[in-house]
Amino acid sequence: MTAVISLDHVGMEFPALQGLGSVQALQDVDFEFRENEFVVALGASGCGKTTLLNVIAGFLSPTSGAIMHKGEPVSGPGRDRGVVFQKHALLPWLNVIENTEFGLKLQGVAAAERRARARDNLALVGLSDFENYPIYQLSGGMQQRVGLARALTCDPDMLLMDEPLGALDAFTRENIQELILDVWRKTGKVVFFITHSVEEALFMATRLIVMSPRPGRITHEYDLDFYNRFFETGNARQIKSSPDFIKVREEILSIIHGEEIPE
Amino acid sequence: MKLAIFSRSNTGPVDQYGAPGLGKSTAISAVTIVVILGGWWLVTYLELIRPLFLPSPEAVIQKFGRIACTDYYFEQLLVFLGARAEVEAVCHGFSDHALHEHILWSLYRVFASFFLAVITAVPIGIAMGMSRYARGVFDPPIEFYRPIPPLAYLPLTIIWFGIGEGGKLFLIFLACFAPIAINARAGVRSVSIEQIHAAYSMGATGQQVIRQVVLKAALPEILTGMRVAIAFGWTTLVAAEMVAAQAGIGVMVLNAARFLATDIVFLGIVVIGAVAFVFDLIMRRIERALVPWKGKV
Repeated sequence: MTAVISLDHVGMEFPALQGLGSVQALQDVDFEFRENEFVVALGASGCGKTTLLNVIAGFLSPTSGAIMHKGEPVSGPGRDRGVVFQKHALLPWLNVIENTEFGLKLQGVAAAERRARARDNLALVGLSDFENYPIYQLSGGMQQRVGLARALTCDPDMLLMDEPLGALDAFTRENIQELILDVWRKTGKVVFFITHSVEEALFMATRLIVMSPRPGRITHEYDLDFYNRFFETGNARQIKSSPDFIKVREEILSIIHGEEIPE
Repeated sequence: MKLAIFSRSNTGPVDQYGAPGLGKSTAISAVTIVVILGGWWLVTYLELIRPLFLPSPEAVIQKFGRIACTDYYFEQLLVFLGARAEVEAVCHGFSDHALHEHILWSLYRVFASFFLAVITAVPIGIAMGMSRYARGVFDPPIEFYRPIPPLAYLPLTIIWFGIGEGGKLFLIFLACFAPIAINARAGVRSVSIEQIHAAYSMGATGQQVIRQVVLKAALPEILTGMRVAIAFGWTTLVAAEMVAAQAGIGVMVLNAARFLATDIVFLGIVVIGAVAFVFDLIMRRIERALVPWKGKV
């Protein structure tokens, strides 16, 4: 499979806030995002996963190495990589559909066409009935769905999601996990998804990368297919409580806590 | 009876225990106003204070009728309606102008200056928020002149602009400029970095980010700045009209003071207060209509 985004020995070094020295937020990250992949990055705070996402999004320039998008070097943010943030990213002066079509408006797409495309994507995230709602009247989960629809409306190759479910309550979170998987299956976008939750990571990922701090790097990689079982059975709770799911979960938790992997 | 000024007890079933300033204050304000007006009336009615120092409410209302030429305009209306042959009443006004002419002149000065301040201070404030160069250039002069009372540089405006309208407008303009610029600059900071990043990753240009994200996000604070500015404008009005103005509420008050016509001084003060209050109400309405999301995100 061809790589949509490839990271070639990417390193990111920040000057330390006080005194001398520097912080190695990313070291020698070599990775390829291939067509139709759902890559989840997992790791404790400070392991560089958000830095990695910002580098791919183009909000940060790596201090070493290179990022290529379909063979072209990435030099800044662009429409080919849509971003869904944890919060505070919608525009409260616009209503739901205006937020959703905002990217197309920036590009100068005609009103009728952008409205139609925004409607399609709102339907995809199940918000068709809320087109004209002001953003500040929506719940946190609905706001994240608008954020997802907005990113999709620009039709990027890749979706970057920085802990999009981190601020939601546990019940909403599980619903939106399933919704995101569903959207991914229907659109076939490459997804890069960051989370703190091992369970969320295992459930959603086609490929899981575990990152470690100081220096931030990818230490483990897993190919997973729990998502596939969800598509077959539709029963998320059953998958998350199955013995093999729990076994992988414990293994990854051991890695993150720096313990020996139990045999 | 225990007068619980800082009551911690619940005033209603949905009130939070200990939340500061619970309950409505409208009725209390109404009582305050009645007490002040009643006290004013009583003190003058009992002739405890000479009218030179405190004219009676009746005298002020009578002066209002005289200066506003209510009789004259009422008769004109009757003539217009054909109920009367001709106007007999004479419009005296004060300082050769009827009250509404004074008010219109002052409104013109305050709003022309305010308008000029808005169209210059908003872009400069936004630029100060967006660029360190703009901030470096504009911060020292604004912070320097801002705390200086307008009366102090009034002579300078006369030397520069003469005694015509220019100097008056400039004085009020300066009073309005600083609060708008400072609030616009602060407003830039209320845009979240996620909103800016989101716009860039949807293909926005730098110009689009400024116009469609930063400016909109700063709008609540720009409007707050405008509200403060218009109040400053009214405050500076009297100073501006001190120099060789023919008409205006400030002129009216100053001329009246020269003749010890205390009732007209009172009338002028009440009119300025009332007009400023009405415009503050209008600004609040505009705020609610333009930035309904304020305080909700």
